[in-house]
Amino acid sequence: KLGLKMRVSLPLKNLHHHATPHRHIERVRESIKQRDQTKDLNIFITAIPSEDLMALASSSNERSKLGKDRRLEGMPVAIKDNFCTKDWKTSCGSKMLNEFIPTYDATVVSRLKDEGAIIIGKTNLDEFGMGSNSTLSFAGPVVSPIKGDDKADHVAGGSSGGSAAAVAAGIVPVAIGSDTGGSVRLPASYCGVYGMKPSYGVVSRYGLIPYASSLDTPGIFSRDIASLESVFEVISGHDARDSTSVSSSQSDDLEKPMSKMRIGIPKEFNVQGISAPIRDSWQDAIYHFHQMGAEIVTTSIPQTRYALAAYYIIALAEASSNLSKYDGLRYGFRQHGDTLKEMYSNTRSQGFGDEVKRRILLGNFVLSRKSYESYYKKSATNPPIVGRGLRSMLPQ
Amino acid sequence: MRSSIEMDPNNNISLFDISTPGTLPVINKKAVEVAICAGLAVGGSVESWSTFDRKHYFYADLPAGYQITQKDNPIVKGGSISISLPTPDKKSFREKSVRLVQIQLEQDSGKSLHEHLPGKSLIDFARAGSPLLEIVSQPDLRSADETAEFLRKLQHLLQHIGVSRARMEEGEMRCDINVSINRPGEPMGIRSETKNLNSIRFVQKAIEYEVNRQINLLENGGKLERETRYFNVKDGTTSRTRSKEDEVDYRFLPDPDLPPLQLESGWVEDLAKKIPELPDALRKRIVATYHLSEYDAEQILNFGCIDFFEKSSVGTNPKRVASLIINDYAGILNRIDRKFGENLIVPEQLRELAEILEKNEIVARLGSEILQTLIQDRIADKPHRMPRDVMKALGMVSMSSDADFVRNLCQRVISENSKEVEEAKLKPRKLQYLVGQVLKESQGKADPRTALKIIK
Repeated sequence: KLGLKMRVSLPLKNLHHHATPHRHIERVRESIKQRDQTKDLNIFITAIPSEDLMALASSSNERSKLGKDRRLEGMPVAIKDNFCTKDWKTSCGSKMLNEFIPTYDATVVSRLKDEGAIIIGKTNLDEFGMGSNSTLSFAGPVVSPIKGDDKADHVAGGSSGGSAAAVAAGIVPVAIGSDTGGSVRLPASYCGVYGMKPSYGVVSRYGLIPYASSLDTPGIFSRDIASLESVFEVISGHDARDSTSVSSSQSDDLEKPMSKMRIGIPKEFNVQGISAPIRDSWQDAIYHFHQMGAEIVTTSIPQTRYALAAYYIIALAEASSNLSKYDGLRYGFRQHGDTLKEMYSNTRSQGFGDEVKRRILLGNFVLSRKSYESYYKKSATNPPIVGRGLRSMLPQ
Repeated sequence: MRSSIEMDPNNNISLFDISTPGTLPVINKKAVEVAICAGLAVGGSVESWSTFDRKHYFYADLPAGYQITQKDNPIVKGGSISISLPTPDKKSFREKSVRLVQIQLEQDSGKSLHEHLPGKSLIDFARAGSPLLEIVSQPDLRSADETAEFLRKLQHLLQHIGVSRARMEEGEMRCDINVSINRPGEPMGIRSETKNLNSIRFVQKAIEYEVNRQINLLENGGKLERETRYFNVKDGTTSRTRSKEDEVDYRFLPDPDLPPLQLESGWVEDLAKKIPELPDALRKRIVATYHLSEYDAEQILNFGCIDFFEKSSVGTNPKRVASLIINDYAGILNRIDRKFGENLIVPEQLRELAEILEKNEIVARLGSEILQTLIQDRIADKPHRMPRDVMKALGMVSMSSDADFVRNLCQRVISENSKEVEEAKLKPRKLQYLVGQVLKESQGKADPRTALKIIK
């Protein structure tokens, strides 16, 4: 038990987006300084060189002088190292991709760049997003910037620990992570910053190297809501290159006024083991919505108790499938073999860490002909059941 | 969807085609359109809701380690193709309907080349990720000949609706066969699958080899196993590549990157309207409307010039037009290695030529000569001429079947050639001499057939 008595309160800095021009250079310089000073936290796998960053900051300067600020002009951001960034290594925290340099930007990345954001670096993570502490990376573990009373190193949470830490350490106001089973929400909580996991499909997955395709969701860390909101607006919305991204018409529903909202709280979500502060926060939020005019309704989704098991089966099945492509032939790490089969085995045995291998094996198992009916098929009807439960409460 | 022969190795590759991390599949609308048209053409049920599955196996030419296909809910279910087979006495045809299981959309893999470099394999990803239609037939085929006919019919159908040229040698159509044997009345035997067949001839050879191999095996007390085999082009045999023990578990997974495909209502109906009249219906209509024989109708259909035939037949005898196309036009094109599609003859020209022959103005042989001249005109880019112009230019005289005109000539000839007339009474062959004389007298104008009739 950690004996955490700390209360992390972070200033609600309201960042001005149309700041005075020299502010961009200042901000970036500050960012670089913080980055250098926190090297021992192992937050970044790739730190973009200062010269490049200062050049971008200068460009932002020039734009501001001409009054041509884009929506995120000069804003320093950090990107989890499973989002493809053109010409910069994207390793997924794995030996397998430790020398992989994409020739394209993920949609999230290009949308940020198009609005003037400046990428300070690629953040550390659990390998391929598989973990909840950011300690399973080929690049070594992330250390949380939050120090407890015991002065020992703490985990930053995972799998997006590097991005959470980058924000908590004051390096960037906003960082991008990905959430499959809590990988933005959990590290946000551990690092004491805001973490948002949008609904699946609202933010494009194009360029996000997948773990579980039907669950992966790009998410945002921040210290202030205004920045988080700006970034969310920039990166969300339909992307024709991602067939699972929501259509424009679907996201219009988010514009309804609070007085017209009915919010359902499934009673099964109030699980045993939620700590008092967390439960209090939850209640506060519900009350807050109520104050704003929403109607709060208690509902029930009995299948909730199977959701976690179903999640593991589905996520691992998809992971085993998504990681089939890493064979050393066309990109990434390759270990020689005398036959094709040998090359594949050697490459995959040595290129993947233990947790990744564990999940691939389990994923293969649940999809194997003998087990398919017992595990995957049963679970694959669970989301629809949970979904059906949810949907039956929503207006048609 | 171009054939792989046309593509340079490892060109035309998108990031997704070589499974670059982070890239995602997007459904190809044109491929869906093609699948719908193919489904309509075989009379299958076009499913307005279909899904995609991943089929996993490791191989160098499969970049993602899985192929995206449609296993459980394909875009087309059912359908059939009818084939005509000559009866044993070769005097008529019998029709047989070959049912289809489904038509599904899937991705192509790259190509492996093992023969080019010693000790190494080359991989060409040019066609990786290209959309494919997989057409699965029910086990209704009973012989190599039936199978060949089925494949030809399928090719013809696909070409007809503009879906594909389906030429096997060009890699536009590939075929895997499943062969089993059983005694009449007994259930179907254990099947083997043979891959790597890229011509109809090879398909036939492979089937024949497999049937013999399986029969020999069983008659010698052996047991058949489910297996995958490979066709050896050099000697027409098949060899085992995988046995049941090595059977691959594909670990099918519904593809989470592709939501179910829902077809907009009305799209299928619109496409159905655009599909040209299908070959079987077309042939029946031609036979019924123009009273051609089934054989002649089939020929014209195969040449792909139904429209040309119909336009040329307006106001004249369609049988004559058909005969010109099948017997004369086709022969000329074949000799000079040109195609019907090049439109070297236009309907107006053929129609006039048909009329000329109907009226017996010239002998049939000259009709062919006129056609040839008209074709050569077109090839040489000369101005458009009509058959009568050509007749004049070539000094062909328009014959007359006018009875009186010919009768006069005949009477003159008979009176002037009494000796030959007597001979002709005994030897009918001598009549030709008299006809010849009539022709000479008329400077080729008289129609020899009429003359012969009258002389007799």
